[in-house]
Amino acid sequence: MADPAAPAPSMRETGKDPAERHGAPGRPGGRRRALALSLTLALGFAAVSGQLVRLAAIGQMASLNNEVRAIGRGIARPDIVDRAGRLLATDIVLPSLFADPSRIIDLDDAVERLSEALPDLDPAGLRRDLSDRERRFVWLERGMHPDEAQKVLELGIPGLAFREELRRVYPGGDGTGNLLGYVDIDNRGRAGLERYVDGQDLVDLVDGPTRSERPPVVASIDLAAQHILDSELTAAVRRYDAESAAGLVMDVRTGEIIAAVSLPAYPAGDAAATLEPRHLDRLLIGTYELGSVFKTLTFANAFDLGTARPDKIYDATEPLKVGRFTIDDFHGRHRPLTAEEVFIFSSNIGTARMASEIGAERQQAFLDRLGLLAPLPTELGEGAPPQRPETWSEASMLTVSFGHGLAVTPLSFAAAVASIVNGGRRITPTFLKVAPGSAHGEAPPDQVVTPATARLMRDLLRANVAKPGGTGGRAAVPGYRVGGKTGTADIAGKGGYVGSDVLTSFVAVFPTDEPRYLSLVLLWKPKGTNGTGDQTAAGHNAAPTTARIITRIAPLLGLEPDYRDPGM
Amino acid sequence: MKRRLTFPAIGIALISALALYVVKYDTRRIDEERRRLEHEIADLERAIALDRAELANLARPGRIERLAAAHLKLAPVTPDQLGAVGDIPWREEAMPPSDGKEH
Repeated sequence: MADPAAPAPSMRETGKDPAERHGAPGRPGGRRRALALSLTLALGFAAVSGQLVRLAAIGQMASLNNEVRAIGRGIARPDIVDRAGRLLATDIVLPSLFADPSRIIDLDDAVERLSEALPDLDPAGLRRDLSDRERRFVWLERGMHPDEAQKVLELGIPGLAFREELRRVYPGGDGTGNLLGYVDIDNRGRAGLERYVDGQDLVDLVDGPTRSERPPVVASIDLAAQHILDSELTAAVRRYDAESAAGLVMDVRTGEIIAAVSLPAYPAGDAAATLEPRHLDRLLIGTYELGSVFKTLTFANAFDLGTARPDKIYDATEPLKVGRFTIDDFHGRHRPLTAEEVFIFSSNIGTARMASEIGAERQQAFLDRLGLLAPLPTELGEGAPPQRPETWSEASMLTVSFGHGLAVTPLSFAAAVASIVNGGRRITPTFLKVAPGSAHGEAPPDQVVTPATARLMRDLLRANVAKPGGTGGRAAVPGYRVGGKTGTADIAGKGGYVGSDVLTSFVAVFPTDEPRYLSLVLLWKPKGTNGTGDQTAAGHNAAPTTARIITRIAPLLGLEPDYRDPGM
Repeated sequence: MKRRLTFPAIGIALISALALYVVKYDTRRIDEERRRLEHEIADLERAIALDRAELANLARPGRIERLAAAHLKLAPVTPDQLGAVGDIPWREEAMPPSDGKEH
């Protein structure tokens, strides 16, 4: 290694005296060098002239190629698609029109022709924007259709120009506002799944209008199911003269929300609509005393603890007096009932007796295990906190057992029922598609009830629909073995429960032998009509609405009907 | 000897300068072509994104339902229209031979 380095210093030594090596000018070698030098120089000049000629000839063309680069940075968002891959939200590049007021020559002419080409533009505002000569830049319209932009371009008004921007559009449907949310003018997600996308760092800062290259975010909903639920609930509101309705369909194994509708439905991407009070999401942000559907939980609790069996007898002959409360039945049978009869006749007395065997402490622990005593975390944000009794007294224990005194979000209630009927594995509702196989791959889920209890509950829910006298009979759909429970709750107004206004509900599970889906239908203030024989109870409105929904949605979800078991 | 070497060297230098010039401008031309193509691709991608959005908008379930009701003699599938392959009866001529007692 040392040897090759040794000659180097001596070479540097000789390099110090160039005269010694190359000789002085005037020698024969010098003429040759002069020639070479002038040749090189001539060549250099030729190259420079050539370049000049080239620039003169094609320079203009080259500068035409220089397009106006969009300044500033934008936000590119991934597409959102439904579980079947249908496009729900996407970024498209749209021209935005801006003006340089100082370059507007004929203000009147510009305003007149522009407002003619763009009828949406307010002429007065346009005149105000364009007459301010101090400004050099003012947006006139952001995100316009390319055809409109072409029309403006053809007007040839000086001082107007376009900048291409990413705009978020929601082509999938009109009723997904509560799920997808909206983005602000800079394409930042502000609500719903859009806000979730931002929170997960799935958005990219981009120069100019560059679409995101990320894979799409796959939502759990099925757009067709969502549409069916929307149209059936809308029809139910009309049919039963109700004030409003809400509903959802959920996969009981994974917690995926297949459809979720809170009427009135509104389009995604509309910030103003999202913030309207009437568009409050009744499933996630509203809390309600759901009434008798809650008995499902009380029964599961009692079966799981072993304090009750389906054939155990509960006396429902007399109303139950607890302090100043009297618990009575809506359609009293005034006789001892088996637990199954308590369920299918929806006896408050029987359920309260069952709850007193459970006890307040174990009841609370069970509801807590089901996630009903805490706000529900979802991708759309945290659900509303439940409104629970101030002190879990004897009376509250009894009323909670049949769905009064504890107000919860319908979504968390649906999740609780799903966690019971799916074999007892606690699931958390999700608005994102769960990849097949990954649902049970992670940490083993909490077991909230035993599989045996889950089987008893499925049979009980099925009996309520299939057996004569069951309150859920109108929810039957041939082939799909629907099971479910009705709920008819008085709506609490100022100063307690007023008038005959009710919130009716129906929670359904299908098919009951191997539950796949749960549906929940809620109707606010339905009236008695000719079709219901003047009844307002859930069995007459929420239950048949559920049947219509399942009839249309089940084939769509790929469930095969099975007619082998028409009765039970 | 030296002269004989110099002129070919100058020749080679000239040729390589020319070659460099040609290659450089070729590169520039190709680069311009690349930019043009990239621009075209970006334009097409935007057009595709726009078309996909329009397609999704036209394929809205609500719109299809309305159009189907107005123009087609078709209705959504009902559960009783679904069945398993095993439920389909054999055609008469393809029936497995039987002893006749069952008919």
